Amino acid sequence: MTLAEPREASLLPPAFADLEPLVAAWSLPTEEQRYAKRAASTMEEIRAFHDAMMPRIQAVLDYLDGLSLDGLADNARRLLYLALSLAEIAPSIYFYNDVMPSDVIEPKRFCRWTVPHMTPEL
Amino acid sequence: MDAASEFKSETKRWAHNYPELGTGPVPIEPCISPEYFEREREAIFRRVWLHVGRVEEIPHAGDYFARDIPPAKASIIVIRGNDGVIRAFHNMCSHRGNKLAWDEAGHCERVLTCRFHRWAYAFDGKLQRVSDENQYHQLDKADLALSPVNVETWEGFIFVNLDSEPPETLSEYLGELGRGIGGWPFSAERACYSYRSEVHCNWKVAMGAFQESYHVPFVHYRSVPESPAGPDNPYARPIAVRLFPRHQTLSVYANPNVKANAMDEVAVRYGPGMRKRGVVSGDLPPGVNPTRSPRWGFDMETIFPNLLMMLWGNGMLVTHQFWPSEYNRTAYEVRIYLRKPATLGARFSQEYNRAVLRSALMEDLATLENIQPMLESRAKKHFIFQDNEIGLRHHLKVVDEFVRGAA
Repeated sequence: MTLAEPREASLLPPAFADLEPLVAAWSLPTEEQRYAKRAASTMEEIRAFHDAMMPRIQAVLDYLDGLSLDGLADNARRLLYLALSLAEIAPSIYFYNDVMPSDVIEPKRFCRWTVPHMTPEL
Repeated sequence: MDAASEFKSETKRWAHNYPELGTGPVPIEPCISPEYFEREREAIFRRVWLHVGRVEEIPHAGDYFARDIPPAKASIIVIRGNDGVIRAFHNMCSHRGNKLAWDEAGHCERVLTCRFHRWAYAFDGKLQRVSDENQYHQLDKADLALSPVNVETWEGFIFVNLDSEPPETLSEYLGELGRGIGGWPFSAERACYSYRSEVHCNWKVAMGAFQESYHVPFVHYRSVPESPAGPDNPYARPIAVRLFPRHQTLSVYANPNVKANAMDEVAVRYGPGMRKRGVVSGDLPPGVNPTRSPRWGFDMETIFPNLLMMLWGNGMLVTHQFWPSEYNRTAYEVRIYLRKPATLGARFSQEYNRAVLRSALMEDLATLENIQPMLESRAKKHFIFQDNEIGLRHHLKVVDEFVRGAA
């Protein structure tokens, strides 16, 4: 960070300040990054993220539902990325009780690819 | 018949509707024979219409994508011209055969240029410029255009046919299935999430995993066990099977009483769910949920030879495509096309659906790689199919008709 850069007003919208400790690790802008984060985490880390987010998810989605992706403020955008990370880790919690079970095809052999003009970054 | 008995009855509905398919064991050999695969290359992949992509991938003049078609030992380039027309060519320079496009997609300014000696082609395939042209002996540029490949579109899907004179148009080829499902919102504004995997498995075995719902409670016991099954329908029997001369539709049951987890409950509040489903509404073309069942989850269309298309009650479109390169190697490509979400809450719901679906697909692929080596052991010679696996019986039969030259 340079000295000239203005300090952010808040990492997340003020009503969600309690979730700010999650931002550095889990507020990730692309599906690829969220999936990589899940794969690189331990089950304890995933569960801690889930347990912090899950009680707040409905309030988060109600808040985001009043906004549009175009022109979304940075702090609301970070909140959206947190919510999408929760969707990403859900199978680890609700299906497998494991980051990724060993009896599915290896994640590195199931590769995301981009269809030009059709695959969004988000 | 009440709902409970409909899915527990001893009646074999599909064998009754399609007696010509028989009910006996089906040979495994076509799924493990290198020779059989060599015949499939000629008899099928060089003859029929093959899906290669969507029109939205190449929105502007000069946009192109290139696709290798391993079973036909071909590579094609599909490019939009200055006149807006989509054309396809063999991806091969007329000079010394170099592959023109090495990347999968891109955009050309004015001309398509070969990297080897900079021969340049217009978007309509005409040879436009030759480097150091006066050193050639008898060069007639008009004769040296790119080799065209037949290309047609249906509902925004681009299909090519490597036969120089296809006996049928794409619309004729898709036939009753295409007419029945045409008009579904295929071309609505969608985002596409896509994955690929190289699977060590015969392409027909791979497709078979998606042509029945019988495996779902077992293979997907952790991810989506109850979605197409439940107390009234414990073995996930389909609500309808429609077989056409080449293609087929499997209509998959949706359990109205899925035990939802906490995330399902959140997701379904903000958008149509997948495990636990929201209300399905909207006018459907006659070929989608053809029996108009209130317990309909999605249709799985098999578009011969190697494309599957899931049309979901929640508006999601998923295509699965299977490109064999050898008798036991298949490049699997799945594309999840999601409607543009109305709200950010709906976007969350979609993201959860996508994570659920990806989990289920990764479960499917692991199973396939455990099947193929067993088939190749030749310890058993036949598959045993029950009535609700008639889709596999049908697909293998259509393949065999082509290979024997009867199709």
